[in-house]
Amino acid sequence: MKALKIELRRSVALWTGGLVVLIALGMLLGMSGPWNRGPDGWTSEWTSLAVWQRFMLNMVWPLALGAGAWQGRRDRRAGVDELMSTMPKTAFQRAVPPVAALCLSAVAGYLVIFLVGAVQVLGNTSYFDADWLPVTVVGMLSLVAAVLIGMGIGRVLPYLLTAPILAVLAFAATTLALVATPSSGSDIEGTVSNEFALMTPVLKGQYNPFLKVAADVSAVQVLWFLGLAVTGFGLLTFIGRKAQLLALVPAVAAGLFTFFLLPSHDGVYERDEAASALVCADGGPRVCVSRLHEDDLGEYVGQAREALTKLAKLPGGPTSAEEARVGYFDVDTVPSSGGTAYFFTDFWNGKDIEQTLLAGPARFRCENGMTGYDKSAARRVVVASWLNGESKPVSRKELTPQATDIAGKLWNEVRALPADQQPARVAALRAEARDC
Amino acid sequence: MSAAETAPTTYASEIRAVGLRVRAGRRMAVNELDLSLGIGVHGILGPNGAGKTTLIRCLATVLRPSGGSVELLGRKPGGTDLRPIRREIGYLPQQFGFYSRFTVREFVEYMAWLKEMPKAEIPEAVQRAIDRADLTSRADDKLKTLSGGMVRRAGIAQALVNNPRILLLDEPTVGLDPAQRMQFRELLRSLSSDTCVVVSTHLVEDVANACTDVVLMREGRLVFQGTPETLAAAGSESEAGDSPLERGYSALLGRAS
Repeated sequence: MKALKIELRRSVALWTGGLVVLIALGMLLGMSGPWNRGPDGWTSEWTSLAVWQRFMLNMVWPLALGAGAWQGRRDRRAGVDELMSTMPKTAFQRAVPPVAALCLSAVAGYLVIFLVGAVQVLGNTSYFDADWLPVTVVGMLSLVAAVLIGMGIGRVLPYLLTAPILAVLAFAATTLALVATPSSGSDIEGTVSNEFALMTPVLKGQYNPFLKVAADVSAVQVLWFLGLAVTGFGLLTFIGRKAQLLALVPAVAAGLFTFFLLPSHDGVYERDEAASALVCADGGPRVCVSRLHEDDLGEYVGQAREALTKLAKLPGGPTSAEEARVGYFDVDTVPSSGGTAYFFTDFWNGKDIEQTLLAGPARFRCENGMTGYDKSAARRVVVASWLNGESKPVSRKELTPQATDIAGKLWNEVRALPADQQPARVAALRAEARDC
Repeated sequence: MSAAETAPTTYASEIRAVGLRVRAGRRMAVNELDLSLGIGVHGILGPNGAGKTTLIRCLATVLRPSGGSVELLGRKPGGTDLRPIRREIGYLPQQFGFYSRFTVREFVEYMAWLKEMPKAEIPEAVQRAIDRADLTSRADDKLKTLSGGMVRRAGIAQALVNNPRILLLDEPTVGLDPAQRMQFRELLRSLSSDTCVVVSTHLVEDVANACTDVVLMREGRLVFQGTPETLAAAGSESEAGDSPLERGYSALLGRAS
């Protein structure tokens, strides 16, 4: 314990832990990003917290690796190798205090971020499941692995540049994992495979709170990071080149295994059935939200029922309202006609529930660009304004001149119809409101 | 006082080497050395390249003999048997490395832990070692703030902390000023009654003033072993040197070549 205390005080351990907290919390709290404005903001629920913490490993993991390498080089730098080799304690035992100090510090830093997030999650939702736990555990294990493999490499290659080069390489790897996988939508998509990305500890936010990290992916990652950690400890403590080569076996074996076991397609996330199960309000008409957003049901029922009453004017109009349990990028998959109207509760789409219920969700992506958006926006404005009994098209968001133009024409066309034919025309407009 | 300390010894001398051969790189730096060192302060003298450091590194269990045998405290170091022997050894290497961010006390404490001392004894042993090395007033300063001589004394403190029965000091007086050297000799004299101290040096005056026994080496072989007085007596006025010991040293080395 005494040796551990000295290591904590005098090695890079506390600095590392402090930097882990500073960098990650600095980003999460101090900078604006998808982590604090997406539908899966880092404090919105447990899985999001766990996933955004893994995202922050983009910078934190290379830091832990570099700190490990710096620490691993210490005995050579200090010139104590010979003295140490005459100690009764084995190399294995000697490695424990510095390893423990650095691992404890890094993991404690990760825990601090978790606690800061957890307090806010507790305030934001009462929904709880344990699916996030493996995600957080893998994050911590990855830090332990980074420290150990860093220390091992630092000992085997005790050069001044080892730590910075390792850190830069790791940063490049974690960054590529975030932006260069197939279908990542960036200019360099496909540069690295999904398997490669999953061998780094980072995870991307999905703008979708109804997903969870597949348990088998976490399990395979545990295997991989354990392999890395064991190899790191071997490199740190084994004496002689042959033994050090032997120490590589766990990482190589785990690496091969995991590369074949990890999903090559986009299989990291799967639908979180428990979180997306429906919870409905008492009474009618039927209004339901996901279990994840159960806390907010009361807030939505009034608006939803009011919208349903207005929608009753349409022939074959929807008679129930449900939260659309899809991600931000999947909004266009929500059906725009049928017996159920959909709404969103999230930051992006959840601003105007009534408008969404009346006219359907706004179009997310149009192949033909602005022309498509304008058409869709105009139809939605006309549908909503008619259902609200306005005397002219009213839009809460400012429309483009083109859209205003189309909306005006459509409005006049609907209004020119006899009153009994108008509902059918509006129902048709509503059904095609989101066509580009 | 532990049982090991009070148990009667079953060996004639703390260090015994028979036909010892130790390589330093490709060179056989210690060659067919027969040596027996008991309680007392043994000064190892010899010109550069005589094999002094190689011998001490072998006794410190850094190097394995490539021939002959060596016994420390009646045991042959090797395999799993090394740990109990290592607990009884204090070693100051010629190139003494240290963790510069540690304080003197932390470093000596850390070494005490590495030497598997009982936890309860550590604080007191650390203080005693620091006092004996005359670093009391700097005990809580970081090693990187110390002068070269003080660092050397910190090295002596770490070697002493486990009350070793075999204390191996390779050039311990390098960097010490005259006053510190005198103090160091005082320390050696205080150890001479219960410890087997092996001091490698090329300063004949260190040997004259603090050693009970002189070992003279040349090209890996033992040239002479005896008291400083015997060494002095070996020389005559015609030999090179400013003191009787230096003349004895020159005479014996001259005869060996």
